[in-house]
Amino acid sequence: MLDAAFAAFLQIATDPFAIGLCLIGVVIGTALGALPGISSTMSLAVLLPFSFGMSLEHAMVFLLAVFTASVYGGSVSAILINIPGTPGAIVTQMDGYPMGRKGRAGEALTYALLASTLGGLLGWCLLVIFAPLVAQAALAFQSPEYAAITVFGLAMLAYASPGSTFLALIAGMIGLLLATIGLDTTTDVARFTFGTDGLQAGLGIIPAAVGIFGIAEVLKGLERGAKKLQPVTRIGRLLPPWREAAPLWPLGLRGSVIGAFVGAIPAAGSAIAVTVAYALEKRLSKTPEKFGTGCPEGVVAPESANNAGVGGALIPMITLGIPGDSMTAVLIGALLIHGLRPGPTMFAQHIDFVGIVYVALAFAIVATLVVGMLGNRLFARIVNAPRAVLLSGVTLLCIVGSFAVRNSFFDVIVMTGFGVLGYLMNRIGMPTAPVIFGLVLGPILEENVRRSMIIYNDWTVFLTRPISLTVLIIAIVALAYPLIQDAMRRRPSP
Amino acid sequence: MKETLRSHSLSLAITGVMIVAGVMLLWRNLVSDPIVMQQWGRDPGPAFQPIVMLTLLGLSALGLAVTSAINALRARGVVDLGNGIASVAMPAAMVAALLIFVALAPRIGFLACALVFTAGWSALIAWRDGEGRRGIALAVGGGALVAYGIFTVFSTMIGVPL
Repeated sequence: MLDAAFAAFLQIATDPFAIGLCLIGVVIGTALGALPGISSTMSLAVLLPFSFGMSLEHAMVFLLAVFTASVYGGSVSAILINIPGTPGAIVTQMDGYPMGRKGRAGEALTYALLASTLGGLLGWCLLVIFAPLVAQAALAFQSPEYAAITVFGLAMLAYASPGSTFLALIAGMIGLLLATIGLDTTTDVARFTFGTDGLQAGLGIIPAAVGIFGIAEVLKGLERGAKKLQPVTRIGRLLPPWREAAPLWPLGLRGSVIGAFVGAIPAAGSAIAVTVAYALEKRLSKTPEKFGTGCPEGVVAPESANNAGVGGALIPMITLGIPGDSMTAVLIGALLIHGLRPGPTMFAQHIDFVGIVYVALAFAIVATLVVGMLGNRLFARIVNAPRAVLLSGVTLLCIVGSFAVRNSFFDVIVMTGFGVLGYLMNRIGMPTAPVIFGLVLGPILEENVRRSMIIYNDWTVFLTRPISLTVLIIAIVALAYPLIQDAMRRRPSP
Repeated sequence: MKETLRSHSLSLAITGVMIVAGVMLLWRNLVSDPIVMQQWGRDPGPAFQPIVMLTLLGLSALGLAVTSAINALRARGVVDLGNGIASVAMPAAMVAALLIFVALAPRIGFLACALVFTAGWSALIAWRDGEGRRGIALAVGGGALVAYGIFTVFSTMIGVPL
C-alpha cells in the first residue's frame, strides 16, 4: 500500500497538469460552494463533465479538489450572508454570521478555513488507516453479505436523512424501482422501457443527480422572489489573535473525530456531524451562553466536523461501493463512467488507484488551505454574484453536463424529469438524496440477491450466514427505531 | 399553523395517491410482458426486484395517502390552492423551456439555443426581481457571455459535440 501511495505521490507531484487541475478544482469548488443555493453535490455534478476527457487519475485529482473545496466554500456564504452554501455549513452560520456582523468576518473565514484543514487532515488519516482494514474484512463477503450490506446502506440512509424516516424510505424505494428501468444485465430482458430506445440503457446516475440536485434547486430559486440579503460588507482582518485561536485546537480535534466517524457511516451526511459537534462543544463549554452570539468555537467545531466527513465518506465508497453521502454517490457515477466500480477488490486489483485517491485528497486539502488564505477576500465578493445570470448559467451547465455523458439529448430530458421530481419532493419535505442512493445501490442489490439465489437456491441463506444476519438485524433496528419513535410522537395525547 | 398542517397533509395525501397510481401503471406494464414474467430456473428473474419494490412502494404510498388524508381532515382551516399555483408558474415555465431547448437544439444549433435560453432567462429573472432597465440589460449581456463561455469550454476545450 505504501509503495502505491508513494508512486501516486510522485506521479501527481511531478505532473504540472495534475497540480494545475487540483488548483483549478479548488478555486472553482470554493467559488461554487460559496454561492448560495449551490451545494457541494450540485457543484460536483455540474463539474463532472469536465472530467470526461481526462484520464482516471486526473479526473480524481480534479473531482476530489472540487469536493473538498466546495465543502469549505459553503462556510463563506454562511458567514457573510447568513445562508449556508452547503448543508454542512448550516450550523456555521449560527456563530459565523454574528461574528461577521461584529466586523470579524475575515477572522471567522480564517477560523473556518483552519478548522476545515484540520478536519480534512484527520478525515484523511482515518481513510488511510481504516479503508484497507474494512476492505480486507470485506474480501470475505460473498453475494448474501453484499446484499445485506446494501440493505444496511439504504436503512442507514433512511435513518440518517433529515425529516421523516418514512418519507426517506419511500424516496429510497422510488430510487430502487427507477434503477430497474432498462435492460436486465443478467437476462438482457427490457423492463419498463415502454418501447423507448433511450430507456434501454437505463437511467443514467449523472443526469439523475444533476436533475435532482441541480435543476430542482434552480426551480426552487425561481419559485421564490429574491431573498432580501444583509451581506456583511466589512471583512476586517483575516488573522485572528493567537491568544484566542491557540486554545481552540482541542475543540477542532474533537469536531474532526466526530465528523470523520459520522462521515464514515453510510449516508449519515455532514448535517448530522456538524450538529453533533456543535452540541457537544456547547455542552462542554464553560460559557455556553456565548454560542450563537458570534464566538469562534461555534465556527471551529462544525467546520472541522464538516470537512473531516470528506475522508470518512470515502471509506464506504472505496471499500464497499456504498456511497458515504450524496457527493460520493456522484463520485461513484463518475467512476462508473471511467469504467471502475468501487468495492473491496479495489485494494487487490486497483491499488494504484487507491493510492491516487489518498494523495489527491491530501493535495486537495493543502491546496484548499493555500487558495483559501490567498483568496478569501475574493471569494467574499462572489456571494454577491447576480442571481439572474447565476440561475440561468447553472441551468445551462446542467444541460451541458447531462448531454455530455452520452452525447444524448434524451439524458437532458431525463435530467429535466428528475429536476421536476426533486422539486416536488422538496416541496412536500421528502428527502431527495435517497432516490440517487437507490439508483446507485439498486443494481448492486438486485445482482447480489439473484446471484445468492442462483448459487444457494435457498431464501434463508441471508439469515444463516453470521455476517449477513448481523448486518440485517442492525439495518432492521436502524429502520424500526425511528419509525416507532415517529409513531409514538404522532399518538394524540389523552 | 393548523392551515399549514392541513395543506401539508393534503400534499402528502395527493403524493401518496399519485405514487399508488404510478405503481399500478408499472405493475400492469410488468405483468403484461410474458418474457419478463417467465420462469428463469433458480434465478428469481428480471421481474423479481420490480415486483418486490412495487409491492413495498405501493403499500407504503397507500399508508401515506390514508394517514395524511386523515390528518388533513382532522386539521381545520382553508387550503389556498391559488397561491400555490401562482408560485409554481416560473418553475413550470422553466421546465417547458428546457423541453423546448431539447426539441430545438438539434435543429437550429446548440449555441444559438444556449444564447437565447440564457440571455432570455437572465432578463426574465432580473425583471421579476425588480431590476431596472440597466440591470436587465446587464443580465442579458452577462447571460449571453456565460452561455458563450460554457459553449467554448465544452465544445472547443473538452470536445463535447454540442
